[in-house]
Amino acid sequence: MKMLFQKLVTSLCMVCGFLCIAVAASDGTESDPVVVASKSFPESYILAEILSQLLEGDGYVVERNFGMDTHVVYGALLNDEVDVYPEYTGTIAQAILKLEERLEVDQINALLEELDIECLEPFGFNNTYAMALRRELSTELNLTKVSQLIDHPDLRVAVTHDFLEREDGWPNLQRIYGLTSLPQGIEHALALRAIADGSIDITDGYSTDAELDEYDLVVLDDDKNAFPIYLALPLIRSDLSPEIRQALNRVGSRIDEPTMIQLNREVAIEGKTFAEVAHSFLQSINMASDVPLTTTGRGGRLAANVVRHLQLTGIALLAATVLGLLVSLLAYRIAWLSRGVVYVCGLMQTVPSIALFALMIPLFGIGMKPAIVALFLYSLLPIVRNTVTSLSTTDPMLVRVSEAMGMSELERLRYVLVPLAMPSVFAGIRTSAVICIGTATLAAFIGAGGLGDPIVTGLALNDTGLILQGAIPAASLAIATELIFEGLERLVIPGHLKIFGPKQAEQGS
Amino acid sequence: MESKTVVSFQDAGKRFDDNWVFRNVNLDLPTSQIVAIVGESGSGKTTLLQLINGVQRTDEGTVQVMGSPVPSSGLHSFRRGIGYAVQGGGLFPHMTVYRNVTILARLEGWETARCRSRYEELLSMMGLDHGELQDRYPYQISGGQQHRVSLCRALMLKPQILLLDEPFSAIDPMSRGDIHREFLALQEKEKVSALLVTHDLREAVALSKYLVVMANGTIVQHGATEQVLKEPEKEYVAKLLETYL
Repeated sequence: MKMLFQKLVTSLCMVCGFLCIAVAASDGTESDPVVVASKSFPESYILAEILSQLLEGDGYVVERNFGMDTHVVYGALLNDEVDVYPEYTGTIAQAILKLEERLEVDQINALLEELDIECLEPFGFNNTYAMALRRELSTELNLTKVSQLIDHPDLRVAVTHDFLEREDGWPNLQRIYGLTSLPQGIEHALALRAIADGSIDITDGYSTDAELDEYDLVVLDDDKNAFPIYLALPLIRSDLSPEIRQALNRVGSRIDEPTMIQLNREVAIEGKTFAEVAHSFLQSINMASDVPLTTTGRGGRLAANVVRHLQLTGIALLAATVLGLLVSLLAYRIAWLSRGVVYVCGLMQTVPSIALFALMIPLFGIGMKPAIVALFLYSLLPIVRNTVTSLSTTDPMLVRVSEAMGMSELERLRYVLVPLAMPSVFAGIRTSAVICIGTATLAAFIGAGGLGDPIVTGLALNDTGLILQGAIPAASLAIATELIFEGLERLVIPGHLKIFGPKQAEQGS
Repeated sequence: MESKTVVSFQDAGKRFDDNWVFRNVNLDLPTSQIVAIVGESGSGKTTLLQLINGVQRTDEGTVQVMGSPVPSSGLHSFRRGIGYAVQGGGLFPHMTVYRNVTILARLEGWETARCRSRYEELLSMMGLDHGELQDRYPYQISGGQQHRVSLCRALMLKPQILLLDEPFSAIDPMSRGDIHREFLALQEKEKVSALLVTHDLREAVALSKYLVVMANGTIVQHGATEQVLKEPEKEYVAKLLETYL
């Protein structure tokens, strides 16, 4: 019995130790890096990468936090969790400040002043929305202007989720042109593919999209000027040092529309990495650092993602295990309390995982913290339910005997209830671990990194290979976790179940 | 030799919600003997036993155990002075025979050598091969062996009182005779005051020196077993004797 307990403590200590080392390794020596973020479409990644490399060329340490939704990344900037990200004037005015009129950069900056954020010099191109369709459909219907769409309510419209919701997107178009179609939401990269193969008719694109050319799409003329002007620029926190601002302003007015279309093309069509495209662009304007492009190799990226993934799931699982067991041990004897605890944990599970991550942002900002909290909440149910159920359903005769023979409550828990409940408790932890590893891939959406990162980027680029670079290691990690837990299980399950298995043990007793 | 009292009930009563299991129980049980409490299921005999080790508390009257009332705090150390065995054995399925028998001694901080020697002594007295059984789990030994091990566990700390709640009722009649003999020898040697609850009058008569007959929450008759057999005071007892013996 004592040995069983010691083994349990030892294995828990080993897990804790591993986690501490992992966390310590991650927090390393970095001193206050500049956090550069991006939204979740290729152009934003490219611009953010250009800004990152500019800063790195000047010797700054940069933390990249790419691939977030507009409101997430904007919120993170306000919360001082992000220092700079590429944004568009139209988006700032309409989607963020909720203003209808068109504003110049200076006017926007005046409004942003009280929020302690500001726009730097625009990159030099306007990337407005473009409603696009296949050339042959355009010819067939003689459809060239957005205003003509009202005559074709039967066309299948699918637009990005962002566009569908934001003020300057579909609602604006609907208001100005009086459109009645009900569009579907779709990922940007998928939309262009879908329109090319004819599964949808019309989608929103960006005027700098390389795919417009590639798929031979026609852009409808915005004849009532519904779309605002979207000048791309770095949106920064006002407290950034003058040196950093200066560094960032060096690309001001250096990227015109054809250049941006070309950069997008290199990523989307030619399959180059964001880092390569940014580096060759900076080289072309003589701003690349002397330091050769330090693209982390595939192996290095994978390792970093795996480590981050393990940190996220490890910390969340450890916390869920410790707290879940404590709560269960306190609650199992009181029927209404344990029912309540299980209900509350069950409630967490009913929240869709992506929504649970999003709900954590107002409380904890972006990055690892909200992701760990969300994963922690998600992991609680299997642990708490299994523990409470197995503790409260221990053979009543054994409970009575241990009480009558003079075991204290603590001794009964330690020597009878917990060892008997161990297989079930462990099964709960194991289930949580596997759920946690799968769900943690969503953490990339709130800037927490991990194996979800290549998946999110892969989705933005419609790149299956990239998606698999996240998905396969995540699946392997889940399998490895299963195997490790199977090994650990042998250490902690009670002896009578170890020799012949639970079935024979039950029959015998 | 005049027997001293090991357990004494004074006007004891116990109820669950509004239903009284029994009331006005007055009983002095003699020490160092086997006392059998017989009665049908639901007659309150198990509850009577549980009042002695404080698993249940009286709702009226008092229970004195070896001259003192059942304490209201520190119950678990009080209970360690009272052995307890139940129907089916109640062995912990995840502990080996050795661990089952010695668990309380180890919690009490006994040294390994002392644990082992007491374990071996008890198992030998119950006719068990202590070496062969020590590493077996309960499901790996026979029902009869489980009951014997259960008695050994109850006696491990050399308690002065042994509470037995139908400990032999699940044993087949063939082995029951053997286990009765071993138990009698053990009780004789340990000089423990054993209170045996059973619904089997024949078992009660075979083992006990003192007999308490319960029915519907009252003590119908109690006294030296021989005396009760010779002079049943109530019709119920006479009928019971007639039916079973």
